[in-house]
Amino acid sequence: MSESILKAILRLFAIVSLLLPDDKQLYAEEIIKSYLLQLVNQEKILQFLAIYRFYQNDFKERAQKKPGKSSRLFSVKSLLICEQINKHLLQNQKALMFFQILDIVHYKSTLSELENDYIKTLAISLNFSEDLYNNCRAFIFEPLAEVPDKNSVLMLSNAAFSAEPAIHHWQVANLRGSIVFLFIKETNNFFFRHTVTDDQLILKGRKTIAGRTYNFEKGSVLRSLLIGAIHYSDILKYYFNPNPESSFRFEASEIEYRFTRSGNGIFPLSFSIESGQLLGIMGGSGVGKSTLLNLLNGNLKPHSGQVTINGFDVHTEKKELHGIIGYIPQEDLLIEELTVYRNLYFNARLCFGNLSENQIEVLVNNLLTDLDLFEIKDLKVGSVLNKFISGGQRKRLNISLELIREPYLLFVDEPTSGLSSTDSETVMDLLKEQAMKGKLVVINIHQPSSDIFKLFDKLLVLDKGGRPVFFGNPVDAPLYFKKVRQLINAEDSECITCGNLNPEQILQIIEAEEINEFGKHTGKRVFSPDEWYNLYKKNVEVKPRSTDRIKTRVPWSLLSVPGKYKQFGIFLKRNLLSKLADRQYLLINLLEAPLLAFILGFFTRYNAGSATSEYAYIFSANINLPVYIFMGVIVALFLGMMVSAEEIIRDRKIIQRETFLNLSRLSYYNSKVLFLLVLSAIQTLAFVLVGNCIMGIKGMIFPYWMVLFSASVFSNLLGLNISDSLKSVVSIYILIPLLLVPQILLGGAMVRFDRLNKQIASQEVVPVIGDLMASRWAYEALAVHQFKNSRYEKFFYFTDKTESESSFRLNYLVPELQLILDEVSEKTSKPDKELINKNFALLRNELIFLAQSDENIPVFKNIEMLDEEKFTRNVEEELNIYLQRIKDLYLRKLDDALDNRDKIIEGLVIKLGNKNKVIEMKHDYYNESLAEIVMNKRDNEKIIRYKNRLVRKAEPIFAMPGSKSGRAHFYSPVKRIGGLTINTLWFNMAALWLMNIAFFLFLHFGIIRKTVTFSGNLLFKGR
Amino acid sequence: MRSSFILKIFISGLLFFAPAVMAHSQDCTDYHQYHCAYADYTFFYSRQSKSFLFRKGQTAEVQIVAYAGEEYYLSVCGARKLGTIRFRIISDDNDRTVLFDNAENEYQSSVSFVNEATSNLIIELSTAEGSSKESKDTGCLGLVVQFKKVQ
Amino acid sequence: MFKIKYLIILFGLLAFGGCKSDPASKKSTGDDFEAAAIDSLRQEFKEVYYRFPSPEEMFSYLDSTGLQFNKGLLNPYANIDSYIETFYQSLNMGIYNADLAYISLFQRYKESLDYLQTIYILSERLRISEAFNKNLVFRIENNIRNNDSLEVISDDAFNGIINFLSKNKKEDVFALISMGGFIEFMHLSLSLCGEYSPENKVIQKIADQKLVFNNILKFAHQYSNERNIQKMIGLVEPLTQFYNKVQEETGKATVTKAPEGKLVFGAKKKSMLSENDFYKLKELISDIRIKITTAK
Repeated sequence: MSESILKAILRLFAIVSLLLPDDKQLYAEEIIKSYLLQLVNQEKILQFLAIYRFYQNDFKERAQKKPGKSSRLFSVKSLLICEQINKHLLQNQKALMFFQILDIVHYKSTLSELENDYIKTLAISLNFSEDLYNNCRAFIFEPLAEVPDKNSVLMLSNAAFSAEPAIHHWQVANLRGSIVFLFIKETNNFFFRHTVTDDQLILKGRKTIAGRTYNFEKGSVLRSLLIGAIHYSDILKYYFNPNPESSFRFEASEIEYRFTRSGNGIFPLSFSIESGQLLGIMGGSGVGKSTLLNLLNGNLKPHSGQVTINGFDVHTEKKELHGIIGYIPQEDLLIEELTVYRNLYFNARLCFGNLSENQIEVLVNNLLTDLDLFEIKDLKVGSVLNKFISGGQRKRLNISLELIREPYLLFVDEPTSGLSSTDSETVMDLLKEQAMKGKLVVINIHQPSSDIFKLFDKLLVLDKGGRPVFFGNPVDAPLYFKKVRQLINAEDSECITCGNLNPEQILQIIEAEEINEFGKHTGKRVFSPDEWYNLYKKNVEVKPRSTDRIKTRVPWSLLSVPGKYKQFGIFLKRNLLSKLADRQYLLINLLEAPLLAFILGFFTRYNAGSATSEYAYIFSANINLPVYIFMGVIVALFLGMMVSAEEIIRDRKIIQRETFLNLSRLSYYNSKVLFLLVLSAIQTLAFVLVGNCIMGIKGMIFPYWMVLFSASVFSNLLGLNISDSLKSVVSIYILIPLLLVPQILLGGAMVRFDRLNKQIASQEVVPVIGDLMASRWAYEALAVHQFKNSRYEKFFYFTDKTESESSFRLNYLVPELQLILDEVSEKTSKPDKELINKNFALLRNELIFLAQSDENIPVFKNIEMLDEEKFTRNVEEELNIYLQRIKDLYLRKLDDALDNRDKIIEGLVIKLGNKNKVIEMKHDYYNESLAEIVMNKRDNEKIIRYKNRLVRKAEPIFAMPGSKSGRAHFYSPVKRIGGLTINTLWFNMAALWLMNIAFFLFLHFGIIRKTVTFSGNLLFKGR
Repeated sequence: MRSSFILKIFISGLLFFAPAVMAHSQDCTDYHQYHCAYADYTFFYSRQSKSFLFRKGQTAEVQIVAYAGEEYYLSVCGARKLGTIRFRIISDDNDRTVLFDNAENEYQSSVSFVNEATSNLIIELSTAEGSSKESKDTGCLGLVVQFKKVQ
Repeated sequence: MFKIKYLIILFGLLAFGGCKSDPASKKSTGDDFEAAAIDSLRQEFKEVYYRFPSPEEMFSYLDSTGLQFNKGLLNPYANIDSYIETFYQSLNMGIYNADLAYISLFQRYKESLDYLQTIYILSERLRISEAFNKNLVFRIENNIRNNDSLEVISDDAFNGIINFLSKNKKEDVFALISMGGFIEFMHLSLSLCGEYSPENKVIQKIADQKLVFNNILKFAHQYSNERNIQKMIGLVEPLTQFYNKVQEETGKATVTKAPEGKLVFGAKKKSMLSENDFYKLKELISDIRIKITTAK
């Protein structure tokens, strides 16, 4: 308050004092004096009193000069002063001042009409509401029954009940008289008057006078030897008469916790506390406040001891206590991209499955209004670095997430950290209000200001290592500590002049260090933590009564979590909105795919030129098509992983909280998966549309899209698993190359599967390591499909296959058999027994195979004679002829196939009109480079001997796989499994989706996450 | 002639490898390349050379084009079981003039001549009837044609 | 020679009673199998074998020292795109072969390489690429600047093809290749021989090639059951007719003995080509060639 305003107030007092008779002037001065005492130092009081007297004289003179007009004059003057006051004083300051005025004119029990009007005018000028004026006036002048707002009155007396039933009443033993409190809801203030004359009621170290009105501030205590102490919180309790049904008792009994690695934890601690209070846990940094909080809220299970609510164990009976406990961690739980409103809205939807949309809207808006967040409800929350709302607003919003369902037990971790003192006060007021409404609020706080400190109903102090050293009323704490330390001024828990409690004192005393003979700190504490702890155990702790173990009723919770499907829907909507709100994210993700497609397509679009134009682009001549296909698969894998890598990790805290609320983790995962699926579908479609267009791939949009989509989904799920399992974003990004490089290397395009390191490579089928790669399935599917099912090759595939097979058998298989026959006959040198047996086995196997695979070939009659012992020249000759016959057979088949091809072309020419159109079709649909790869043209190795079989290497795209177990060589056109023959495209897609489902299940059951944690623990057990 | 002798030795040497090849094919395609005699290095091998499956007692004709101003060398060879091979060179004029008959030359297996006018030459190849009634006696028969420009 | 006796015995046995294959297999399999064997047997024996020189030999007869290299006369290898039927693939293979023979006369490395590769591609389409030595392509590409071997290589290659075709009973393809080669040779030589004059020896030599044409045709007729052969015969019909009409001087063949003891075959024979005939021939060849190279 500035000096000029104080002078203005004194002027007002001076005017008022003119209403009093002269013999009451001293009385008025006393009131003014005690009022000044609350505002200025002792020295200045005399000074201001003198100013007051001066004004008084001044006005008296003026009144004498113009006797008739004096009242009007003073009214006008009063009004002017009030205007001035209105600009500078807060409501509660005005109220206090007004009460002084009322006290002054209360020199007699009733008001004259003049006085009445004057007071009323003043009240109006001071912008008091009518209710407020009436309440104040009645409080002073009327009997209590006349107070309009009876709810705001509390009377303390030693009677059991008050004469006036409508007002609150509190029976206080030994009270010689009555103390009446009035609550001004406009200013959230209490004022009191008392009629006690036999006792000394001390407020802020000063005696209070009966009949005077005093401001009862937060944290104030009214003491007397007879009645003890009356705390501010006690008074509050009576005003916010909580529903007795929802009251409960919270008890911790000998809870203890020890961290395995550090040895820190919480020492055995017991306390109990009723609902309707604000408990503050204080202590230096690192003493274990958060650990204690988590022990109390059920997140951490104590190694011994119990935490109960009305007898129900918080750790083992979570189901019964579902929804009772709320927990607001120190970290932000907000979704940055959403608005303030939306953050709260979705949270509300997840808490109240039983409310309608309208109801939730109302609820959310109300809460936002209560928390003074309504004006900013449509602002994006933003990140801590990129703020749209202030720190205080963020904190309030975080709190609102829990408050919306009004949990009976609310745990808050460091609600004021990082906030300005104004914001801190606002937040603390909020929490205090909750306590006032009957909740139990437990907060951790490191360095409370004295104002905040005064809000606590109970205080728990922790010292190093998690040792409790004090539990009780916060105002009593400095007393206790000073007494223990035997400091002077132990009785002065409040600072007399400034009215502030100094909580730092407490920590200072606890942590005080010994001073050595040179006057320096030794670093050794005066009292060790253990000493404090023992003292606590001896002097402070109240062991819980054993009878408290009886279970009473659990307070009913508002929480009604919606079903799993609804949760899924909410998660999905939330995710969607948050993504849509982040325009940068949207833009990048939606444009990335087509942009990549453009780049890929543009650079690989090799235009070989034609006879007519040098830059003409002919699809069939584009050498780079296979590269495009493979890179497309890799792009799909990358895109999938990039969008999913961070998805879960950034929600980490939110997930924890939602688990706390017992929300379905499955629904959460499913919503992520669905969102990513849709995003992947959009991205891969965009990619295919752009890329295929540039490359001139016609008519294959759907198969390309399907395959790339499947590959992208694989990446999505892999990324989600990684995101779920690792602790930091950085480690995810470091892991990504490790996951994707093998896909590139072992996809089948960079390195041939039969040319890998011999210990891994396989000559007959794709090795297992290859079958594990999503890229292998995707790339093969596309390569095979593009070749085999292109509009052109579709006509020819079957006949080409026959051609290929016949040619292979004719030119390679049978000649190789003839060569082997050579080796076993005696004509060639070196009888190597092992080799000969091997060769015989080979012959037998292949002959059986030939007969089985072609119905035109009968089984070789003397097949069992192809044995080292039974072999004769006759058999040799027979076999030669047999083999020659087979050659002839395939010669014919080959001829027929070539004829057939001609016929098909003829048919096509007729169908399309002329031959040029057929050639054009080939140019548009048949890519030579791809054909070269899938037919393995560059390789001279057409057939090899491998494990008693002859393995065909020539033209894999036309070769049937040998195995019936689903495995096959790379570029196989079909896969065989059991009796079925399935097209490679579908089979490979099925393989991809099998892997997808596997990773989906891994996600659900947290298999990868658990494995990573487990191995992490194993590796770092020593630490 | 010395060089052709060397060539003969060389080619007979090839015969050692022949069985491996021969055993498997009833195919006579390159028979002449390994079994027939060749002229000296001044002659060029003509693609008109041919081998084919021949039945004992059969008569076959090979019609070639002989260019004017070129000297030609022909040689025949055949599977042993076919016995001695007789060949005649017949002109394509209306009279089918016999220009050469190796029966009149101790059944020599080769001949060379200068050709003055471009014409078709028919080389008639035959063997004696088989002693047994086995008309299934077949074997490969080869004809080598070589040429060079007359200087 | 050695095993043939055995072969024949078995052959006979099988031919008579060999139809009894596995009782388990279907009747048709045995039949098909047998049929294949007998089929191949039947093709083996002919009465007349028609032979004709290769394009290299034809060029050699022409005396190439007078010829110029004119790349524009060749069939561009880019045309290969249009050859999707076996008919045109075979014919053009012959054309490219003749082009290759022509290029070889001038020691042109790059063009030789291009055309060899083109021939290889066509052979792949015809499924006769196995004719080429495994390492042929590598041999070609590694033979930098060694022009002599290039000729050997291309010669080798073509011999390989011919042998392969013969072994694999694809003589009909050979007929088509040969005819293609012939047409191209005629096209090249007719374009390079200059203006008509009765003294132009080259034109006389070109006229002589009628015999080659006839032999190729007769050779082809031996396989006239093949569709492609029928087509080819139809395609060259105008040329056949033309040649039938050309005047020919024939006289009796003579055998004389030269002073060194060499035989000399002579004949009063001359294929005559009038100026009209010459230009008509040019036109006909051009027509046929265009049809082949454009695959219309």
